[in-house]
Amino acid sequence: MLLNTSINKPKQDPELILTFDNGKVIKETVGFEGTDCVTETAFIMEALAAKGNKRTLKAEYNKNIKRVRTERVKS
Amino acid sequence: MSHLDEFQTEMTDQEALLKALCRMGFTRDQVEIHERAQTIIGYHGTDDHKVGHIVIRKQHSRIPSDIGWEKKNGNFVGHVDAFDYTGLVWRDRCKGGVIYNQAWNVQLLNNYNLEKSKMALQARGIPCKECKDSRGRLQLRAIIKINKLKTKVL
Repeated sequence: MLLNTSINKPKQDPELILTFDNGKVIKETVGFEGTDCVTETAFIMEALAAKGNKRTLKAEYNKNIKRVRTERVKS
Repeated sequence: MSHLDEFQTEMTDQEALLKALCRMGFTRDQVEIHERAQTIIGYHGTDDHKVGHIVIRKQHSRIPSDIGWEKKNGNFVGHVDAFDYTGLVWRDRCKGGVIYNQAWNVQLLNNYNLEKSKMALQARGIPCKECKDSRGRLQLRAIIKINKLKTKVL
């Protein structure tokens, strides 16, 4: 028997974390929806006059916010 | 959901550079700001054909020479590199001297990036918190409030 269980995790406020390392800036965005992580924080890169050699280390877009866990339950 | 970018920056903002220099131990009155670039006096009082819009004279630089930053094509370029290889000598000769080497320049750039980011966040009314990560690196954390109001066309 398959049982669908929605997990209602407490929603995390979107957070911008900037780490300053070796003259470079590491920009991490957590808890954003869709492409907001890029659009809502683009002003920082503009302000810092980011050079062309940007390197994306991780990108996980979450377009489907509702998470569904499927569990197999023994009847 | 999450995104991680790494990028390099350029020093373009005078105010952020001044704040970064304060973080490096200088006071505002030790730093000269000029509309027109001024000559930077080198070791033995020689003019090495270097100029700067922001200058710290030798009585404050803690080395026998001025240091400065020249604004070129909108970017501040530092004239402090000449001490890379002589830094150790200066440290031995001048008590409390500073080594203006690559590590110092990197630290200045880190402080500049932090101050400039703070200014950009504050300009948007976004509160931020300064801290250090587990590796001791400077960090700035801010909660972004997203306004999702959509305009309906009637």
